[in-house]
Amino acid sequence: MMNYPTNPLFDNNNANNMQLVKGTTGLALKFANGIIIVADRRASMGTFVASKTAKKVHKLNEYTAMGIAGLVSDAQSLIDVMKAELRLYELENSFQPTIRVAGSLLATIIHGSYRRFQPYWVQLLVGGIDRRGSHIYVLDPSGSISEEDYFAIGSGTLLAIGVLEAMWKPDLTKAKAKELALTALKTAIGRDTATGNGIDGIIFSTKDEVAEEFHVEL
Amino acid sequence: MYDQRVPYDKSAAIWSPDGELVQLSYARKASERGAAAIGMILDEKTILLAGETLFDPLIVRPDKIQKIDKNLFVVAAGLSTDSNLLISQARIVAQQHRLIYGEKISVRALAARLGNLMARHTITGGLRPFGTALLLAGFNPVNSISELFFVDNGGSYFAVNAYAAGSGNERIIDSLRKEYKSGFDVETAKKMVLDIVTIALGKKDPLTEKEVEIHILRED
Repeated sequence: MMNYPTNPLFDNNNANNMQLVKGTTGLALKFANGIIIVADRRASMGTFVASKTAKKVHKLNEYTAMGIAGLVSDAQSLIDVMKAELRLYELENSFQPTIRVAGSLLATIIHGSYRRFQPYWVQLLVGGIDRRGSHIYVLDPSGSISEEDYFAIGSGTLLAIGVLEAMWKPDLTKAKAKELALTALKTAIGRDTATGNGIDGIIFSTKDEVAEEFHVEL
Repeated sequence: MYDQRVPYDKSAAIWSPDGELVQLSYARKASERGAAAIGMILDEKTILLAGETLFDPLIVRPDKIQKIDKNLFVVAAGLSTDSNLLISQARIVAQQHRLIYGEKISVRALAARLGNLMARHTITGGLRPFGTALLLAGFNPVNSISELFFVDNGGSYFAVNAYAAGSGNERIIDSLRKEYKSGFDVETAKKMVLDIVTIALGKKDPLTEKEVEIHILRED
């Protein structure tokens, strides 16, 4: 994680402020006909479980969703802004914004704030299906953006990505993809104290009319 | 006491009793004094842009058709300084769109941005309307189909199949209305455009591509 020595609020070397960086695990992966995003439901403040029903996978529109980790207020604010921006984009252009448009706009907003010493303290997964196919973008607080086939965010990143790294392959079926996503997230839930209390997820597939949203109690 | 009434053409922000913006009518006249500009959709993948360039052996022929972005072009008719201002603004808007959204701007969105800028100049005191009308040509980012937009001096914009601005615009539009149909091949369209402009401007000798710059846009 980065240090912001000029802003004590985000100074990771200051143990008193460590609790600002919230724990969570979210992950996204591509499969043959679409993408899946899943995340746990625990919101933590240090060792305290602040919420057992936190929502971390959000639909931005009918075919784009965002997985969030980090400072909840920052992420919620970005979700609200993105929902509005994507609706505006569609009205002004008379066509639907691609997943890349959503990712690129988020990167612009986040990097602009980072450069002004007021960073959005979030890691994001943006994914969905558009006219060019299925896409997953990963963003961090510096505003960097990269397109990935699979990735994880939050405090359980290393646990979840270890599973994805070993088991993900191109052109998985939807059922296999869901199974892999749950296996990876359950690994993080089992070994990361900041991750737990059930799983939320969303699946976009070119074969489905609407997105499949699901919840798994543990 | 002196007469405190303000003439209706004093400012673009004052209505005449007939509901006309007199300054805007003057601005349209200004663009009609500019060299003719024509745009025509030939088919789903091809657009023709044409602009009359005033021939003078002393002056290096300026480009009447200007590039805004990859495969996005404009031909402007009217006061060239106003056109230059709008074209440089269009280029900035196009690149801003790429920076923010990571994708090329659509012709419609660009027409809307320029139209709004031009409309702003008709409702703001102290400004004057642009002495320029624009034809914007490009391809739809979703289905790659040809798109042509006309933007009027006052900022109203609409999609067209074929349209003209600048000198002789009314006669050229009349001719286009009679002769335009989709699916022209390039050579037929070029000849038709040259003929229409020659007649509309009352030229004795038929105009050639030396006097009328023609650009064919193709979406690969």
